[in-house]
Amino acid sequence: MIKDAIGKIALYVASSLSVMTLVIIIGFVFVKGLPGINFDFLTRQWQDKTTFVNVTLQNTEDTDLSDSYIPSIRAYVEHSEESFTIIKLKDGSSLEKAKNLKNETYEVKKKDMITKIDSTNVKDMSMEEFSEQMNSVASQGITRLKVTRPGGGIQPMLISTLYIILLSLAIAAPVGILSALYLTEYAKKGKILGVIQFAIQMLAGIPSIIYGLFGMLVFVQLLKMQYSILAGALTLSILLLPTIISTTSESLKAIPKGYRESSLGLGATKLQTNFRVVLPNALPGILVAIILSIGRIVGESAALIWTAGTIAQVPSALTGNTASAATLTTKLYQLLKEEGDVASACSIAVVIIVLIWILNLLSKWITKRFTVKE
Amino acid sequence: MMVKHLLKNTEALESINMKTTKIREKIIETVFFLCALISVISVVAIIAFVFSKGLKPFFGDHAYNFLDFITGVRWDPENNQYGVFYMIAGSVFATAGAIIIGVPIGLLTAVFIAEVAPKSLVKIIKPAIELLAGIPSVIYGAFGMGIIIPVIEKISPQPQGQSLLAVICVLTIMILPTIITLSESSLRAVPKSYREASLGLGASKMQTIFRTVIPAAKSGILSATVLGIGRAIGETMAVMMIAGNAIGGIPTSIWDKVRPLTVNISMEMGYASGTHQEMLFATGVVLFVFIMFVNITVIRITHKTVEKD
Amino acid sequence: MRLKKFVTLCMVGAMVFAFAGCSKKDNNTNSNNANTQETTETTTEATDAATTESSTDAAATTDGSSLSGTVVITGSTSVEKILNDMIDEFQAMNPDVTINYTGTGSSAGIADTLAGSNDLGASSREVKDEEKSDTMKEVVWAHDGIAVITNPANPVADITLENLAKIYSGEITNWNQVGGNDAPIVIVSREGASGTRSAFEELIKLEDNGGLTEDATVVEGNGNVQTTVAGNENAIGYVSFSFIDDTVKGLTVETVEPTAENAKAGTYPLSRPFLFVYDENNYTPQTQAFVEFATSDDGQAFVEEHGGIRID
Repeated sequence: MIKDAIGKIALYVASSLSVMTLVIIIGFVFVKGLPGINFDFLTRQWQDKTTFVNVTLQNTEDTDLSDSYIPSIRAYVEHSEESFTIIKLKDGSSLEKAKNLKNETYEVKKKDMITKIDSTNVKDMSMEEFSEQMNSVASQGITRLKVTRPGGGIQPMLISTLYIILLSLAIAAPVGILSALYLTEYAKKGKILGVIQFAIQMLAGIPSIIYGLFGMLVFVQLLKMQYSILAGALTLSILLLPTIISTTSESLKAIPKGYRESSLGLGATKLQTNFRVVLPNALPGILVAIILSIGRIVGESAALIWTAGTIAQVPSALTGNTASAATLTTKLYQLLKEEGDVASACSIAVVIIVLIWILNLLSKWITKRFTVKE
Repeated sequence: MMVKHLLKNTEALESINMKTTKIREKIIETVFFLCALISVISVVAIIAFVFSKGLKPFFGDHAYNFLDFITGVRWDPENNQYGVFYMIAGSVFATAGAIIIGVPIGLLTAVFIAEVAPKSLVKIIKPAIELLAGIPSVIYGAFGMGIIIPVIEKISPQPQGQSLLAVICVLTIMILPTIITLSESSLRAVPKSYREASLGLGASKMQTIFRTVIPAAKSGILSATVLGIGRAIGETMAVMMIAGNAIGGIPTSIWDKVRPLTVNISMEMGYASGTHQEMLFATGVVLFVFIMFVNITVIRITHKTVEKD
Repeated sequence: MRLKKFVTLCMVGAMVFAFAGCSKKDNNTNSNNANTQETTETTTEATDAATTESSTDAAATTDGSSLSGTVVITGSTSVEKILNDMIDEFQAMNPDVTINYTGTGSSAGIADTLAGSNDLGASSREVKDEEKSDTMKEVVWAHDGIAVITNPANPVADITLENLAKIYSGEITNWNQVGGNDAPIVIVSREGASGTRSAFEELIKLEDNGGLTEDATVVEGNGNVQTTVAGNENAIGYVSFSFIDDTVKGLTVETVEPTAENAKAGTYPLSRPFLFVYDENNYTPQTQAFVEFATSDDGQAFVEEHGGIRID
């Protein structure tokens, strides 16, 4: 009896320990990170963006006598430490039609900051001085303003993460699914099958830092892709292969033999059977494989830092100078390392955990529907 | 005549058709085969590139003595000192510690989920464990930095919290999901009749679990453990933030700082060039050899169970 | 079976071919470079004309004109904050120029310039003799102080260079040896090949004292040093001036306050230059314009803003 009790206590203690760690981790991340999450955090650029704009000022008589109202640009501004932030634009404000130095329209928006009027720095100005300066240059007609759009948001990382997910899956999914088809439908038991399966198991066991080393050496340096999303995606697609292959294989194996036999019996070729009967039936399994892979990509850091780099920007090419991009996770790491900014890092972590949780629910839901059908 | 000729033609056409479909099938099969081959090519390429770069500093004119490398206990690239033995020790100790703590906790949790817990509780615990499995390692690192290090700093005889113990704690948490999920499924795979027979012989539920069910699921639990070893030894980012990463010295207690192999690679990779960079690849080779052992053990174990079935 | 073997062979063949193709492409670009270099050498007059042209171009850029192209900068991570701001401003003035900065560390930045894989290398330490080359030029665009930081709870306020070297080499292990509490010193240092680390070790002449002690905690990045020191009462670390905030305390070194003025005046002993290095054969107008911007008044304002020290 005592032994039984000890056993039972051990079971309860161990499982509550496991669950507790999770609660503590999630608690830590949410307590530190949740305050930093808001609409701006999710939608803004990471870095402040400075633009010089040419604005046609109007010297109109305006009846609004509010202190914060600047008639020449028809806008309300707020004095913050080093600049003047636009808090509201009136209709027909010339700021809406501002032109950047390339003469393209650059719409100055709410929350943008004006930091220079022509070549005058507004840093040490008071509200009155600013207003005066703004109105005094109005007679010139066109004035150049230096406008800073505040950053601090994770939008570029969200987009880059999405790019890397799409790119990696575009490479790994077809290869992985066709591999699984070969292994389950075509391959005969023998040496070749053994070698392939051995290779897949090996791949599954290699730690991501080794993938990172390999990717850096081959894709970044040898193939001259530089730190780029393509180099990152290629590295990740190798890392994903084992997951996709084994999950897809499992679902292929679960399809009853009868399906294939009846299809073949009806005169379909093996190819037709595979694409019209076998693959559609394995679709839920394949979807789960893809969702698992997305989760893996979202969480990956070591394999990406040395292949895709850590620049917080939306990449504008697949390879080369402008293709480097940080995903949410690599940026989170970079933040801890370079800035020691635990709060922002935890805010990103909250976003990642929510993403992972949604992915988990999704894969559960798909599996459930599939098994119910059977 | 005409008809006969036509007939012959159609026959020929048909056979051509048959042939083309056959060829097409063959081509498609080949494409599938090539896809399957990519995994093999990748493994070969990874080994070839990492090894060729990592073994370079040990050959040629300015060759670094391999024995110095593998037995050295100081890593100081500025002074051309590259010893990795203390890192190997660090990796091995950290992994062993994580396994010693993680496997019992994980196994017992798995038993709880599979055998004891009511269904309603399982519905809460299991998704939680799955979420734990999906959390990126950098977040574990941040957690370690924010919670574990300050706690250890308070109780440690040494003045800093970065230590082997911190690494063991974080690695234990990180391998738990792997061990729980795999052990649970192997426990569930034990036939009902085993339990019934044991209970029928008068054994209590706990006796049945510990004397019958767990031994029957032995090989599954073993492979879970080995996979856990693989994950622990290969973990990088989380460990880097909490290990202390000393430049030399074999850890002699759990309060000492360690510098596991993975950390050494990723910490200096971005900066390194020349011999220094090659030495980091050499560290990768050492790590790879360890992983290879682990992998082959996993494959052996799973093979055996498959054969038994 | 035979088919499979054949296919495998084909595969291997294709791969070899692909690789060969790649390297061939490299050769081509290389020889192109070589060609342009030759022409520049032989027709000096032409290049002279070209440079004057490009410098007028550069002058014109301040009015936001026709410069275009990319500038790839790699190197020191210590200058990240300053450079990001400069780049932001410069790109605003020259909308057609894209500047890409990746923090890879000073050594890598210099190595990249030598290898021709960047336009500009950023270094936060002096270029070592063995790194110098005939065509590589250096431009100092700021100075930076390295602050010695401790936890604010630590009563020690001043440290001498000699004691710093003794602490980092492991000779002094307790704060009471330098006038503090009876508590062991937790030494925090940076990863190997970090520009800050090598500058710091050189400035305190750590090598003469036997090098860094094995007892040091090594962390990656300025941010990690700061968080580690902020979280440990007995820790000592070093970071670039721009990383001092209220979570850590900057010590006076040889009784001199760690301020930009003191570093500029040369009285603060732990200071180092921020450099750009470039290959004079690969000095494009847009790169030149950026370097000019960095050393201009506008650029220097950013240096000052982030706790760096202006060059003038």
